[in-house]
Amino acid sequence: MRYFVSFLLVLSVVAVCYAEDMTISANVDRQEVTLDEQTTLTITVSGNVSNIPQPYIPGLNGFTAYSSGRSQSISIINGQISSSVTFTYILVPNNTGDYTLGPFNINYKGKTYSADPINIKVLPRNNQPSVPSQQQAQPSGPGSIDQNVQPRQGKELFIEAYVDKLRAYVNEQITLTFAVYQAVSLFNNPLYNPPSTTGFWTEDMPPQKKYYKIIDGTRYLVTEIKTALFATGPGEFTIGSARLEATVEDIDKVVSRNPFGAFDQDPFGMFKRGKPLALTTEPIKIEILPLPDQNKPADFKGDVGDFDISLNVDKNTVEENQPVSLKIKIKGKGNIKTISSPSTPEIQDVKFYESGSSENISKDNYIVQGEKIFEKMIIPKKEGNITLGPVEYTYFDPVLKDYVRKKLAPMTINVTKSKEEPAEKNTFAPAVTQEEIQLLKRDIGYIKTSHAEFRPKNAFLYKNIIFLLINILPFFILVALYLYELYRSRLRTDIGYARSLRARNAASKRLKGARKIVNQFLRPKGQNLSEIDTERPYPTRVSKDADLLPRMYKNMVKEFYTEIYKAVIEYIADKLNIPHPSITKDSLEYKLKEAGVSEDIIDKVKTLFDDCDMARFASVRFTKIDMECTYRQAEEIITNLERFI
Amino acid sequence: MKKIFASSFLIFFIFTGISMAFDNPEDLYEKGNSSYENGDYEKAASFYEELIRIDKTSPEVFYNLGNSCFKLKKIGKAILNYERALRVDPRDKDTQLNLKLARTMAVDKINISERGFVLNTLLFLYDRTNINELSLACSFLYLAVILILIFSIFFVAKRRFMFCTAASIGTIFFILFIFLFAKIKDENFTKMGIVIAEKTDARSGPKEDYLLQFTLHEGAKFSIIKDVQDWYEIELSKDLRGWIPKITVDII
Repeated sequence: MRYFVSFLLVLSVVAVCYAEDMTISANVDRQEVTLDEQTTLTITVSGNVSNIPQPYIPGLNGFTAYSSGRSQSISIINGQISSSVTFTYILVPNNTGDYTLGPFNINYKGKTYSADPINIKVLPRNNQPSVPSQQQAQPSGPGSIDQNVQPRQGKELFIEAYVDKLRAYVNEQITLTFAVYQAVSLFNNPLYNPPSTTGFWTEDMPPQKKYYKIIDGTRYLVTEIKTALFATGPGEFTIGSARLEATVEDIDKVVSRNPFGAFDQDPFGMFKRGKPLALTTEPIKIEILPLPDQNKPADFKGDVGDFDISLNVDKNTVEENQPVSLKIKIKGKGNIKTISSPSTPEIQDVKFYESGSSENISKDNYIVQGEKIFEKMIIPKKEGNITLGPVEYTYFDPVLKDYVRKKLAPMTINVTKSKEEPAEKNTFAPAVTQEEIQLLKRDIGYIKTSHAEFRPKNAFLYKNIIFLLINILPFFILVALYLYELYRSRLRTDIGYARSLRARNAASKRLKGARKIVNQFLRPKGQNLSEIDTERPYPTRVSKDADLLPRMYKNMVKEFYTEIYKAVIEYIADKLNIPHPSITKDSLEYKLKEAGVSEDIIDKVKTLFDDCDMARFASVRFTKIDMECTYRQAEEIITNLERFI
Repeated sequence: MKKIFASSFLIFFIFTGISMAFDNPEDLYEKGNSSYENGDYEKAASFYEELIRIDKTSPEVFYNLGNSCFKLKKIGKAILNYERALRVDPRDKDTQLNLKLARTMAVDKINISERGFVLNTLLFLYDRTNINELSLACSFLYLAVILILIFSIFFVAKRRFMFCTAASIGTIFFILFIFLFAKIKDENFTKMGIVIAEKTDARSGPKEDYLLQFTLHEGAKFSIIKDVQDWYEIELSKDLRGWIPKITVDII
């Protein structure tokens, strides 16, 4: 296509350089035609232009024109382009008489070219051929049969259309037959334009019927197409003309081309040439009679034909509120599709639901027949017997020319009480469709009006001293309790610890006892023996005979020294956790050394013990000052030892 | 021992109760509410503000004041007061909803960094408690631990079980204590503010003649970093800081 366009472009450029010239001519293949025949009009436009316009075809008076195509040829000779376009029309005459076709004009760049008009003479039909034996159709309707067959003897192809009756009742079947008679083979599939059937309900009746028929010695292949027509109302109706367009083998030309007859048979069809033909039939007038008003039943719904009716339920016993399916079947000949549901009488406490209909149509023997089934649901609302019917159905029989009423015997359905509670009334109502909540506009929530407790903004608990105290105090309580318990448990479990804790107290007690002894025996005598004053400076140890205590005090002095000795030795034993009896001076020295006590203190302890031994066992006499001195030494030793053990 | 605790708590509550019974906050509150009901939001707001001025506040007061401001189209103040109400009563659904709605009306869209699911779960308690509740919870757990330890001193036989219990309670206490600590720190050191003026300009320094960096509109929330005379240095996100005049904002 693109190639073609560009080609045309080149051509048009070239064409501009030359003088443009154009001719138009019109021809018909014959100038005398009968009404049965047709003629071919050929208009040829040629010139050295590339895009040849369509010629203007004036109204072809008295003819029906069919375009049969166009052909184009382009030739370039010595740079000269010439193209020609041929338009072909098939003209079918409508009436007899003399006609002038044209003139045919063509407008190209402001110039008008024209072809001479053509005269054609249309002659009446040749009435020679006889109609082939007519189709015998039974006259069922009123009026005689007038088969609208147009015999065309000697024609290789002709068509005819006829009906089985020219008078019929409304909704009665009329069979329209369209037949094609052909004695030659067709080049292509013929184009069939069915007739217009305004005012009729049509029903195609396949299949096409094909048979051979010999008419006046010519064997024709007959193809029949049947259509059932049902008039929708009374009055005069016209079935329009049917048309057939076909291309047939042109026998004449084939023969003339082959003078030697070698290719008469032309088995391959090599030289066959097609001849387009357009055929029409005469319109058919049909009188449609109205259905008689006489005896017309009130419930007549317009069904015409011959029908039978039957009724059928799926069960005879049903619980209340349970559905029963009811089927009404109408069967017979006639326009099945237009059959309407027969009326069923209203029954109290019974609900009817139409649940549809189904139809089954057959066209045996080219008669429209079949059955239509109407289904209904019946829901009885109450227990008891319900009687359906009698169902009545009325139709018009065109053969009897009267109305026929068919009656069905009543049918009884037994309704039992429902085992279940009757369903809610709105069981059958559709559920309310749920919708999203549409938020129209948002607003804040309402204020709070409930009781409020007011307090300062910064009234935090953690800033409240009482709160903090409540939290801190238990901790100290815990610590205190823990430490006390720790102490107590040590006393309970650790004897050494307990002894060492008690040692100082025990030593003090003994020292106190020793001082008591001195105070006891010195005070009553009133001698100027001063109390052993612990506050006094440390006395130097000077032993003078004059100061020696009298012998009468010997036991008491012994006792004093024993106390001092026990105080110190028990103190050390307790501290070092050594059993009292096992202690000796030697082992004591060693133990003290082990405990890390310094040498001078150990020496002091040894000196003290020597003094005590002398007083206790050697009966050496001591002065008051000696005793005082020993007492102080013991105190000092204990204080010093406290630092080490 | 228990008696002592109970009575000390009682004393504490009585103490705070006495401190509440000043002035007449109930009257102001009632007046505010009836003004609001009559549609006089201006008047209602003034009553609620008076309550706040005399430092007799409650979450309801903040919430109602927020509502009044919202009705008066003062979105910044509304947000401010809802935030204040949430500080005291973080679980209040009404306040949360209203705050959400008010925030949608604010001009500035500030991306608050969304916490993930894990963090949200971990901080579930943190988000839904206020300082006093956390303090009480911590105190309660702490006293429970102390009590158990004290008992453990005397009931040597069950010491192991008691220590285990004390340890678990102590763990919870520890977590809550961290929460409490963070809350107090949030409240006192990382101050948040809301723009209450229609708009405010954030400059590069605390003076009008510094470079204008960006403009904030009513309702925008920010944290305050520095406080210099009449200016706050604020931070919107990690890298957006500026100085804005104090009169245009209010601290939550």
